[in-house]
Amino acid sequence: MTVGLASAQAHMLQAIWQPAPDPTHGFHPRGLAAYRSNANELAQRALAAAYPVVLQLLGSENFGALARLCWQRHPPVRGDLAQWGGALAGLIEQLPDLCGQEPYLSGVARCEWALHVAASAADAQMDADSFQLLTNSDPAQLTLVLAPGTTLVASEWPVASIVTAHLLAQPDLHAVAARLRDNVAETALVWRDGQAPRLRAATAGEERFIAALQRGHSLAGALQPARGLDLAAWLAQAFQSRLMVGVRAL
Amino acid sequence: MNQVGIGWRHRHYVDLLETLPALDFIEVHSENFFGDGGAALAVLESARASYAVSLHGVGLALGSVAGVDDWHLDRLERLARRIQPARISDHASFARAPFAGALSHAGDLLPIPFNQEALDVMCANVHRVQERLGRQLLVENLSAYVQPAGSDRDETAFLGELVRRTGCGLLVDVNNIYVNALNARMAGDPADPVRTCENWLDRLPQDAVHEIHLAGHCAMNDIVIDDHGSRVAPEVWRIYAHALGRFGPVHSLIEWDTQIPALEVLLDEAAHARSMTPAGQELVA
Repeated sequence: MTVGLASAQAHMLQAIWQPAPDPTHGFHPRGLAAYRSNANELAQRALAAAYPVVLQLLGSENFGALARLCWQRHPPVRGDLAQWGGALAGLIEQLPDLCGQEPYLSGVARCEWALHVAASAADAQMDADSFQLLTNSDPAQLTLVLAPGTTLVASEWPVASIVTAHLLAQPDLHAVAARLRDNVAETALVWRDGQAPRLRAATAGEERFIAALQRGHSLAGALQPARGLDLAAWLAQAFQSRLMVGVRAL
Repeated sequence: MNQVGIGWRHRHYVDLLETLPALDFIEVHSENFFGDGGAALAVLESARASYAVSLHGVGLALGSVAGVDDWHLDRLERLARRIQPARISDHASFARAPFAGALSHAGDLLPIPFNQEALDVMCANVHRVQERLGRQLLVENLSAYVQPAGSDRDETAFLGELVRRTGCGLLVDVNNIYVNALNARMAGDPADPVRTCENWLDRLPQDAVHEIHLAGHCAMNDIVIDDHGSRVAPEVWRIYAHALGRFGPVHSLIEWDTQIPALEVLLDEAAHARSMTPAGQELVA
């Protein structure tokens, strides 16, 4: 019964989204152009909200072209455009020219998407009382509860430094350039501190420790691959920055 | 007296919460608060403590043959439980359709033809949303820049039948009907656009309209765009006065979504809307 309308709706979407307008689409050209223009603006605005550093690195014109390409190849599937754009890093990796010019760009995009997702992750209350378990329970029977949105992004490039240099002016761009020259690899650690998404470079031991916790290991089990991690210092810092919001008995 | 609110956008989150101006309600785009948690929801809950909130959606895509997305409906229902909104609304448009082999969402309010097939689709989708939310949904008329083939009835007859079959209410955007009338005139319709809009309003069921939207538009050489980027045009205020005369006091909203000015400008427009009297009932000095 609705085959005619279904086909007509697919046809209109095709007419709006196809890269080169087809003059035989049958719609008023100026009206169709208004929808095409809106789609382009939406693509750029939605991605700019999630990827402010990629925008800075590419400049508005190149970023707009990338946003349009992302819309074409990975169109939105949800009515909430904040959900759209997670495919950007993968798309960048399929563009050899862009990767050649800025090989760290896809890693930066992965960091920014992790920040974007962390911003709306489920809230978690700090359970201060639960920290007593650390003093009176077997570490093999405990695990740590990490903050909403906690994610590790590994890269062959100093992606954490690049992101924080552009968002927070730390470190300065000269220091970032030196790390790029020296081929410094970084794993970015993303989490939400209260309502504020955070990102910093993880130390090697910390990266292995958090990855093990995320796989469901006990505190004792997560420490095994993280040799060299100063647990007492890490716990103090994680508590202060709300990277860790509680302790849970297994 | 008219109950008047403003569309509350990111630029005014802090200003509004710091100054708490006298407004009868605020309206937000539902989709901006679909997250599981985070700052956006916390800010909305702060505002909810001081204002009635209306949830206005742009993504349900009620006219889509592909139906309403379960994911979208789940989040809208969760948000409604959390915020307890005064009203929930969305548009008489489609957005979900296949593209390149996958079901996509246009992220836009695309027009539907006004015929039986489209009405049946809209009614099924509106029924589903209302059953899930356990309450009435308001459906807003569109500004449309292309006319889908196959219409066999007037837009107001379509909306009236939608109301009759589903029990939904209507949200009338008077700027949208004026934009449509201006574009029709550009396409050769000789009718006076304001009169066209007044006639349009007169054909709607009188008791179905529960909210009115007011916004600015942008007239270019070859098209008029409903960009919500300026003050309400004098002609739209005239049409609004006519609407008040026909529907009585209705919750009315100032929408401003592009080139958003200082909060004071929106409050000034809201004060103007509050001071409006139905056409033909002006006070004589």
